[in-house]
Amino acid sequence: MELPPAMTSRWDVERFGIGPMATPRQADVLLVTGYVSLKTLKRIIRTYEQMPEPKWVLAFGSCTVNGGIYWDSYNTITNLAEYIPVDITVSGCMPRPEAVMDALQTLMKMIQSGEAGAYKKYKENYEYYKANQDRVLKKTVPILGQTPEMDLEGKNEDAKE
Amino acid sequence: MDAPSYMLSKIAEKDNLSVYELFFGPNHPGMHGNFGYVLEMIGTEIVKVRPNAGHLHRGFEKLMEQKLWVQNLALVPRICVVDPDPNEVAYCTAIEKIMGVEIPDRAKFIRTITLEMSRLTSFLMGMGALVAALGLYTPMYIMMADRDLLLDLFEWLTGARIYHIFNIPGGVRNDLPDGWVERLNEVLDILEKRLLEYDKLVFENPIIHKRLKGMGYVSKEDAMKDGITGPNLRASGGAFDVRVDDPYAAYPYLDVKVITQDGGDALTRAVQVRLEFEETIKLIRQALKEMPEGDVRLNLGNLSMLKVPKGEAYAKVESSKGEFGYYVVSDGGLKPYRVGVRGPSLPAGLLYAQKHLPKMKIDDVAAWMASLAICPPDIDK
Amino acid sequence: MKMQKSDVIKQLVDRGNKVYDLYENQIALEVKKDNLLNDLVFLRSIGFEHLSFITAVDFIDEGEFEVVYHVWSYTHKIHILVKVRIDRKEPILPTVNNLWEQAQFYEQEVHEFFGIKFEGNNDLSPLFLENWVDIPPLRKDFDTREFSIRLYDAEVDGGDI
Repeated sequence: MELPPAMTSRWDVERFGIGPMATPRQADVLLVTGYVSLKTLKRIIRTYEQMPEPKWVLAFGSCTVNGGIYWDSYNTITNLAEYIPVDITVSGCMPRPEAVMDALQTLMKMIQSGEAGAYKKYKENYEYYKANQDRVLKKTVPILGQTPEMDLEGKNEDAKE
Repeated sequence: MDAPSYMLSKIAEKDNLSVYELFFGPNHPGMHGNFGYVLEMIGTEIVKVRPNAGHLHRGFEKLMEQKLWVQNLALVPRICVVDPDPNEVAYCTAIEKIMGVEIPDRAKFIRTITLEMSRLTSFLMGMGALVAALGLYTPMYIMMADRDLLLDLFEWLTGARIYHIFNIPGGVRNDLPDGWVERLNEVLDILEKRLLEYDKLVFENPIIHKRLKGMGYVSKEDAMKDGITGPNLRASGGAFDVRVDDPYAAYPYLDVKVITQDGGDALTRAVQVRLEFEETIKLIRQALKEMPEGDVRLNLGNLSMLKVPKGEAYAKVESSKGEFGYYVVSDGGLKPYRVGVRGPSLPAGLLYAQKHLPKMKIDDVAAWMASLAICPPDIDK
Repeated sequence: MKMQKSDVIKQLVDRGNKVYDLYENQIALEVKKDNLLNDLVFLRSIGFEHLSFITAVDFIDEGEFEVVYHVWSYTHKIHILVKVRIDRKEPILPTVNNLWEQAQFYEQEVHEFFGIKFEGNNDLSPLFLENWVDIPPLRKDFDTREFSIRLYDAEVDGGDI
């Protein structure tokens, strides 16, 4: 929600050479702007894997670090870095546009100095990430041990995507 | 790996033409927010729609059962990011109804002012999204910058730009700071002048008329029956407004003018927002003028130990998108027993997508969505 | 023609229902499961044509679900909470999607979150959650905090303690 002001005339990140891209194939940085629900996580992983290297991830808001205000929600993950490698995080809920700009510029400096290269970790530790992803996305047994009392139609049908 | 979602996958053939499946959202550039429609298409024409909701589902209704009455105030504005204050007011009003307390008059007026300011920010965002969906980026840039004028005032008043957490059970957190009213009046003058510019840039623009005329028609009867509320209903001719029909905050003391039009299509809805924008400015001015002196909150003791007596209430608020309602059930404890949230976008976003989108061109989907002011987070909750 | 609240209450009491006068413009009506459709059709016929939404409350101690239909009349300016109690072990209700088209989605939602079945509704597929194998999440015996800790390794208070 703070991105439209950041991208338009008041803060105008374009003057630093930062702009939105229509498809992941053209993008360098993936901004994950806030809490990640399971359905979204699936799309984030796909988007991330579509992006050409080199690529970086900016996690935006407290919710992507430890779950933030949604830490005890049944549908949002708590730490994004367990599922895809994160280069830089911005705290706050929600972070102000200045914080976004600051983070993007810090990321640029980190790229120049060679500090930011988490995408290499993804290839090296693919099994670790994949196991974490599968654990939450492809669960087959109830986590709390209780099975639904009645057959809930279509519950286990893998969505066709 | 399955086929990537951006690739069109052929699913059937019809009259020698291929039917393709296209994921419009969540990461389609034309989509507002994290939401999706799965479109079945022939060429650029849509034949079938399957709404793909739930990307923003955080289980608010469950989380609110786990937190104290006041802690939930931090959660409620997050249900509709664009227009957060109606959530706070609806939740607080429901609590006050159950407790049987009446807040001071000055608090009512301050609530009204924040509600109407929130409505302005939401209208600016909505108009900006609509014109950007039609490729008119210049007015969108101006609208976003104008929205920031109001966000600065919110920051001055509440300390936060987006999630204000300003309304509390029993009133509002604090009184208006010195100089704030003067600045608000200045901002309202600026916005009123800007409206003339919007007229030139947007509403007299032939692109808007050509693209939006006749798109997404909703009749008055259908709107009333299917749960379409707010500006969308009024653009179809239904003279209904929660502020008048079931008044809350300071609306009983103010002259709320219910504007109606008969068109019922996307163009009428766009004009409706513009007309209500003007009316909202007048309403804030009137509220500022008639605001009484006095306390801004009731003393309900230590709010973190607040116990709401056993009971239930439904409180609704006219948000910029329609009826926002909170159904609160209390068992007399420190936490709500159950909170049910009624978001205004569900009938339009799910039901009318299936009615309107087939036969439409893909180019129009984003504009159609913006014209009905569909806000995905209040569908998903 | 606009009816007063007392007239509406009288008409409903005459039909043998329990009515609670809650607030100005708001009353609660308790109906029986077998009578639900009749009563909703009656309410619609006297001008309660706007269905705000459908929700449910899990009264686990009493072993019952309470499904609440929120209807509002544009003519009488009265909001009615139509409440129907059903057994928790056999949560089945008739569908109302012939009366209100948007009820389809509210019924899908209630089915997904409470496991209540709506007879006659052919599409009760999940709307929000994907691959859900636990008991429906808004039931009182589902512990979202424990779920989050076990599945997402959530830390209490963000790990500060």
